[in-house]
Amino acid sequence: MLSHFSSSRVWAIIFFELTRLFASKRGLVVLSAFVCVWLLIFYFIIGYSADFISSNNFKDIAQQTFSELNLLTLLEWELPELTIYWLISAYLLPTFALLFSYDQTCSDRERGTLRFILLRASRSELLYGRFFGQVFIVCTLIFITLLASLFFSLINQQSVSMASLILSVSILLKLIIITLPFIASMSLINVLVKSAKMSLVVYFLIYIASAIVIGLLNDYVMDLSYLFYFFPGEQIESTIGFDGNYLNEYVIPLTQTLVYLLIAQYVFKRSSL
Amino acid sequence: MSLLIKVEGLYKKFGNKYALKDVNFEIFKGEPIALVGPNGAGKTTLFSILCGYIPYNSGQVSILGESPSHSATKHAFSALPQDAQLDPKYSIEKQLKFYAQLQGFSAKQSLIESHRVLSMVGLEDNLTVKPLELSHGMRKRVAIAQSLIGSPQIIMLDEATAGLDPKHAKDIREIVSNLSNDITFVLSSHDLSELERLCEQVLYLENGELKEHQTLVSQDDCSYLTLRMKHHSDNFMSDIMNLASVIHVSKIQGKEYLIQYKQLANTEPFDVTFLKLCHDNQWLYSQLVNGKTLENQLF
Repeated sequence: MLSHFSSSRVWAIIFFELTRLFASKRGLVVLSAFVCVWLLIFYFIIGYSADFISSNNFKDIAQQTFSELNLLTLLEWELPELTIYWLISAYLLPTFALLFSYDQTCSDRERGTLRFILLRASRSELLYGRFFGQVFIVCTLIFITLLASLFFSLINQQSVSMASLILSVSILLKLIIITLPFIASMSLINVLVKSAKMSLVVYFLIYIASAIVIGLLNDYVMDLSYLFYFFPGEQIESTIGFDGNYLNEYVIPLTQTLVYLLIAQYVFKRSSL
Repeated sequence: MSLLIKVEGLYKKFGNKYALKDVNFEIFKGEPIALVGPNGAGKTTLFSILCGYIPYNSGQVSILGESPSHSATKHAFSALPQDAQLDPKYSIEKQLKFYAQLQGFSAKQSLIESHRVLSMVGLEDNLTVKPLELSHGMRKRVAIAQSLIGSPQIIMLDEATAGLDPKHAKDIREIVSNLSNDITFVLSSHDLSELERLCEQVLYLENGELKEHQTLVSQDDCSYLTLRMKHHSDNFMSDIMNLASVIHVSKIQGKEYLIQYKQLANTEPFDVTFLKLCHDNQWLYSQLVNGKTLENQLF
């Protein structure tokens, strides 16, 4: 069975996937939009907010609010730029991950290009190759924005300590794990729908409709709140405090990722092209 | 002869309708094979099953001893799927290089391989061109080039020459003909004259059932001449019937006739006798086929 899954083919698919973003006109346009958005975030939010957060006045006011939100750890961080970066990225990067990964197989399937590829690679290789390709892309983008954030800190604080660098690595890891279930859920949606545009629409429809249905059942029938754990990003609110809860930080998102990918693999293997 | 494809008791349903019903055949290494049948007969369904694009309901399908979905990993099987297009965002060289890498070529070898197959279809001067900048015919040739990557043992071509101008259709036929010593081609097409030129064996599908599985040149066919006339007299058919060897003459369509004959012992070959008759009567023929045409065999 293993002979039908070749890591060299998966790597070839991953590298080709990277060129889809970094060496194609469409990819560079998307990348430019990403850079512009982050420039605005850095200039208008992180730059100003960092000064504000680091002031003693804010710390006094925020003490109670952050305590209620379980975010006190963040106030202890040496670099306020990292605090703001983390708070914004944890909620914003999943959206970017969805936008970058919404077309993993749809366009190729619609055009018939998938038929050329599947003469040479198995469906599992293609699915995982495309998934990891998107993960690499998102990782690169997270890394770049994090570096930019550290650069801002360096300008403002004149130095960045080793503790802050270690914290940055931790932030990088946590952000990658946060985005994984979003990319994997898009892998699943991509094997279910045939159009790239529809994949985003279907994603949000399923997300919103399921949330409404579970919410109503929860209120009027029985406690079904555990079903929310099927939703990517459900744990973000509990992770944001950086309180070392391994269940929220690692187990839930990684399990979600694995489940989405296994379902996608099962459906993709049995689907018609 | 080595067995390449084996299909046993194959059934495929779409909803309540059977697209394929109890299809059985074997394909051995050798001359090109034609897959023919009217629209909706199940040709593309069979093609898609063999390529592993769609699942089937029951039966056994093996390509070089593997199931279709696993045959991809062996790279001995390739195909030109109907209407499949390359990604418009990348050059044809880049995409064919990627396909070659998936087939196990190194980065350097894959570039050489992509150039080799593109030169085989006469596109060596268009390496860096993107698919949308090419004409329909050129895109088809690129798609054929991708099927040649890695010199597979079997190539299935679904409507390979559809939409091509006569010159490029001829080029494609030449490619198939030149490579048919090393590669076994399975050709699906509505152009029966094209299949007749290239193929020795025919798989004829109708309403999802395999009606014929035969070779075009059989003993029985040697007793027929198919004739397309340009000009002949009114008593053309009766004059031919008067020849001793002739059993029956029938008009197929327009000025096309089918002559059934039995070669008599110790007489000159019938086709020589027939040509002499044409010459003596000043009949002009445009085509003379030894045997029945594929069209007449099937329909």
